[in-house]
Order: sequence, then C-alpha cells, then structure tokens
Amino acid sequence: MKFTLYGFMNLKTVSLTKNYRSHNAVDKIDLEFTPGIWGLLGANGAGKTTFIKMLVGVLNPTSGDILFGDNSIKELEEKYRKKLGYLPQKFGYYEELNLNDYLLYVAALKGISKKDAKGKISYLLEKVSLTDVQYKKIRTFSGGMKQRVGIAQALLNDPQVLILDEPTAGLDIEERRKFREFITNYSRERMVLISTHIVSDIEFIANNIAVIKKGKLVASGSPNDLISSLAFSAWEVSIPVREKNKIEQSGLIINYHNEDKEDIFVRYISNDPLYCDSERKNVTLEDYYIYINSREEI
Amino acid sequence: MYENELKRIIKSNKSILFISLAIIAAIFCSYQAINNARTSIFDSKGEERVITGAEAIRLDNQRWSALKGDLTEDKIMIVLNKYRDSFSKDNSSDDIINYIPVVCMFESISSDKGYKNGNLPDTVAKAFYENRNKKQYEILIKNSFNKDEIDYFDKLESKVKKPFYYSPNAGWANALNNLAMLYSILCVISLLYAAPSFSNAYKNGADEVIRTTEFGRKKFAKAKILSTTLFVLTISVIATVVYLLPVARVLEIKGLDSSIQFMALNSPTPMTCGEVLNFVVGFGILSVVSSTVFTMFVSSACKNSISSVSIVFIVLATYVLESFYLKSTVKNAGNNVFKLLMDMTPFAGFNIYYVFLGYEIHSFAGIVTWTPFIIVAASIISVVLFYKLALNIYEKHEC
Repeated sequence: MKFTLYGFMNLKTVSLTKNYRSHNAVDKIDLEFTPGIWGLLGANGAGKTTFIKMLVGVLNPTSGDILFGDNSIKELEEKYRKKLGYLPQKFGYYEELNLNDYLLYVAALKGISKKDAKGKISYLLEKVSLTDVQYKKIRTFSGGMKQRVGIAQALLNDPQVLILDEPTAGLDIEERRKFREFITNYSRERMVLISTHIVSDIEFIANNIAVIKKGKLVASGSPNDLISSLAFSAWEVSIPVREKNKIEQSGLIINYHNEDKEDIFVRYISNDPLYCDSERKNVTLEDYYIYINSREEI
Repeated sequence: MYENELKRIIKSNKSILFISLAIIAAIFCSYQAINNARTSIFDSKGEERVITGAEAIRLDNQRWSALKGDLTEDKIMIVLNKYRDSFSKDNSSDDIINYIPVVCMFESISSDKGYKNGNLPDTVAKAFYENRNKKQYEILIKNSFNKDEIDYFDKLESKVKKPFYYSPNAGWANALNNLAMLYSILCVISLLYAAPSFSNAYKNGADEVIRTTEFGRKKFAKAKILSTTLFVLTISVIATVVYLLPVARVLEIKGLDSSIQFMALNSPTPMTCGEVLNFVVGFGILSVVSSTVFTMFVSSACKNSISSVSIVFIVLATYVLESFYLKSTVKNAGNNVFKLLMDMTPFAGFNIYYVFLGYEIHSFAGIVTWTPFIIVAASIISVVLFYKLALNIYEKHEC
C-alpha cells in the first residue's frame, strides 16, 4: 500500500494480547483508531501503558497484530516510525544536553535535516513556552517543563500518529488548557491518542474514548455514546452524614463534600432518585468512568 | 546522526572525566618510566651514590656505549674477563658497570654458584649462543612442552638475529612495562566509560523515545557504538603520545634497535625492542578499542549500568587472575583451554609485552600457534562480533 502525504491510514489492533507469567496485561483488544482525538481511559495498572508500548513498537505483543493501513507495523518498521510521535509515561532524556541540542538530536533521529529542524524547534518551543530556556540543560527544568519538552519532541516530525501517555502529568491548569487547545488544532487530519486516568484531560476534546479495565477493552465510542449507554442518571442532594452508607448500598457516590458538621453534599448515580429532593444532573464522562471502574462484572 | 552523537559524547561530563583520567594516567606512567630508573656511581673513595631518573638513564647509556654493535662471542669473552677481574679488585666496580647488559646475561645461562663468585668457565662466552639454546631447551622440558611445541619454538628461534645487536637502551624495559600498565589503566577506564552507554538510557527512559524514531534502532545503535569507539580510540592515541613524548626525549631512540633478548635473554621472539614497542602500542590500543566494543555489547544487554559494569569487571578480573596467577602455576599452558579463552578476551592485548618476553603458545589438535597471533586475531574478531551482537540485541530490546 502506498503512503501518501494526504490520506490518513487507520491504526488498528487485531486481538492484541500481552501475557506475563502472573497475568494478562492486555487481553485481546480489537480497536481501530480513526483521525481525531482518542482518549484511552483506565485506572492505574489497567494496561494502558502496556497497550501503548505495543502500539509504538517498543514492546512486542504475545499475540495479535497492529496494522497501519493494511500492513503490520512489524513489517513497516522505519516507515511506520517516520509517521509516529510518542511521549512515554516516564519521559527520559540525555542529561548532558541543553534543550536545543536535545531537540536537534531527536530531530536527527527522526530524519529531519538540520535546517528544517531549527525552524521546527523554534516554532514548537514557542508553542510550549520554552523559548527562553532553550540553552539550559533539561535536568535543571521543573517537572512541568520537562513534560513540555516531551510534548515538543513528540511533535518534531509532524506525526500522523501522535501517542501521548499521561501527557498532562506535572502541568498546571493553564498549561493543561493550552495543551488541550494545541492538541485539538493539531488533530484535524491526524490521529492523537491520549492515555490518561484524568477524565477532565480529554472530556471536552476527545472525539472517541476507549476504556480499558484489567487489560480488556470494556467500552469504546464517542463520549456521548458512552454516556448514553448508561441506564442511570446523575443526582445531587444534601444529606446528613449518617445517610452516606444508604446511598452506597443502592447507588454509587461519585463525589461529595462537607457542607457543615452534620451534612454532606453528594453527587451520585442511580436509576431513580434515592431522596425526593435530589436534583437530576447530566451524566458526565467522569460519572461513566467511575461507574465502569466500580463494577466487578464489567 | 553521527555528528550529533559525537557532539553529545564530547559534551558529557563523563567524557571530560575520561579524558582527564587518561591524560593523568599517561603522565603518571611516563613519570614512573623515567623516574624509576636508578644507577650507582662510585666516588674516589669508592663510596656508592645512587642516581635516579633521567640523569641515571643518560649515565647508563653513556657507560654502555662500549657494548654497541653485534654481540659476538669475542665481545662476550672480553666482558667475561672483566667480570672475573671485578671479583679480584677491592670493591671497585667501576669498570664492570659499563658492561651490565651483558653481565646480566651470564646469570641467565650459567649456574647460580658460578655467577655469584665470578667463577665462570670460558664456554659461557665462547659457546654463549649454544648455551643459551640449551637453557631454552631446559625451560621447555621443565614446563612440559611437547615435541610439536618445541619444534615450533625452534622455528621461531631460528628467525632471531644472531649475534644479537645492542645499542644503549637504558630505561626502555621500564618504559615498556609502564606502557603496558598505561594500556591496562586505559582498558579499565574505558570499561567504566562505556558500560552505561545503553543501559543508562534503558533505565532513565531516554531509550523509549529514541527507539520510536525513524532511525532509532540499528542506525542509532551503529552511530552510538562507532562514535564512542572513535572517541575512546582518539583519547587512547593522545594518551600514548602524552606518554611517549617525554619518554622518547629522555631515552635513547637508537636503543630500540637492540634485540629484545636484552630484555629477556631466553625469549624466542625474533624482534628488536623497537618492533616490540610498535606491537605494544598497536595491540594496546586495539585492546582498548575491543574492550570498549565488548563493554557496549554487555551494556546493550543489561537493564542498568551496575549490571553491565559488574559483568565486564568479572571478565576482566578473571583475565588478570589468569595472567598473574595461573601462568606461574600451570605447566605447559600450551593446551590449556582456559588460558586460550583468556587470551581471546578483548583485554588480552594490553599484556602483549610480557607475551613477547616468554614462551607463549597455544596448541590444539596438533596445531601450534604463537599467542600474539591469537590475541590480534581474537581482538579484531571480537570488535566485529560484539559490534554486530550489540546492534542485534539493541534492536530486539523491549522497554
């Protein structure tokens, strides 16, 4: 199959599995990624990072395959990596290099000429607000700054497939907002996969969500489709503290806060209101995600 | 990519440390080579004064100039007579001091008793080369070399130039010793330098980004190994120059024309001191390079630097143990498999000077080979083999 500059090829996993001696880290996941932003949701230890490592080719699956277009990424090798941008969960770098040298180094590995690299680096540093520190050593940066370096290097080769594992770790609220804005613009004709356990990172920007639990794909679709699939509603009510257990027996508490010494304000999901003065609210993606994670049978 | 990798290497703190240690080692070994020299002079009252360093070397070269030229049996006879005379004079050793390089040879080929009381027969001089051959044969029998191996040494010995040629070479034996020490130090610091090359990046996560780039597999690994090896090679050459420059200024260059037998009389090596020096430099630098490539191979297979350093040092320690301990306890190392394996390690080249001085061969299934041939072949093969293995392992590594 020919590679074209203009057509996006889907990334597809076919029965993708990774077994370790003690457990299945990823268990027969079939998923097809289309252009746009994909959110990969799952609790810590659900298998998100293992899944992602297989997608980017740094971990071999026990069975199954990953196709880019019609071809396995194993066969494509460099051709696939040319189109790939990746930010790992634990972003490592060479300590002896300053930011500019590090990005030039990665650019060379991505096959970008020195002349082109300088222009791209300049543009990306401005986007991640690191222009002022480009000649400083990365090891002197804060956690958030290092994360932005990681995002910048992932974007150097203008990848068709951009995979970010926990990209907002260490970023403050404003940085996260800028990140979401940038990614939304970027994803128009590209596939961006954001793995996270923080729902708010992707709630408004993701076109599609995939939820992984204990290595299995338990749900995938647009956020609205997923939320609609829930047969429950969300409710909010103020109740005495002693009533908290009653809700937990019949429904699911999403969140609560103390109002005063005796009362708490609770958000819960349930088929019907558990208190007559409960106010119905729109179910959010976070509600859905917490529900999925709480149920043993799913 | 090569340019970037070299730049990265040169900028790193550990490279600066490596360069510093290499230069310090070269200066230290050079200092040792010159300042460990010592000789005596006797004043008019016959009292001895010890002189050290460059002055000692110059004085000895001056004294020993009387011996310059081919060491014929007639010349040896003159020395023998002077040696006998030195026992009849009252404590005055002035004259005999001028013939020390030959006097030392008498000890090697005569009985200890005769040497110590000056009572040596004329045959020590008149049949010097014949006596030497007998002594060599005694050594070979004592060390249980078999007939094929003895024949091999005979062939080697037949290429030794006789009579030996001498040009004042005070200090060169010590210089070659210290040069061997320099290469052993360079091997050790190159191991420490190269050990974290891959394993560090595995541990800190830098590797994970790299291997998802277009050239982040084989091409990257090639650039890394070749750049590191080139860097180590360059610094080794610089260290060698730093070592040899002061040494060559103080020592007589013409002394290198002497037969190596003036450093080890019974050695069957058919070379001059200068040829041995060239091989020590060549093999020494080759061993540093092959050690580096070997270490990078180990690094590519280890998850962290501690593992890679530990493995490499175990191999090095085994080699050193074998070199210094096994050699003295095992008779006929000719068909010793363990010794063969040790001589095939990447480090074996730094010890080559001592190999040239002794009876070092390997024989298996009737094939006898001189050890230096094994060392150079093994070093070259190990560079190629471990380079390819490192590339392979790196490509298959999983994060």
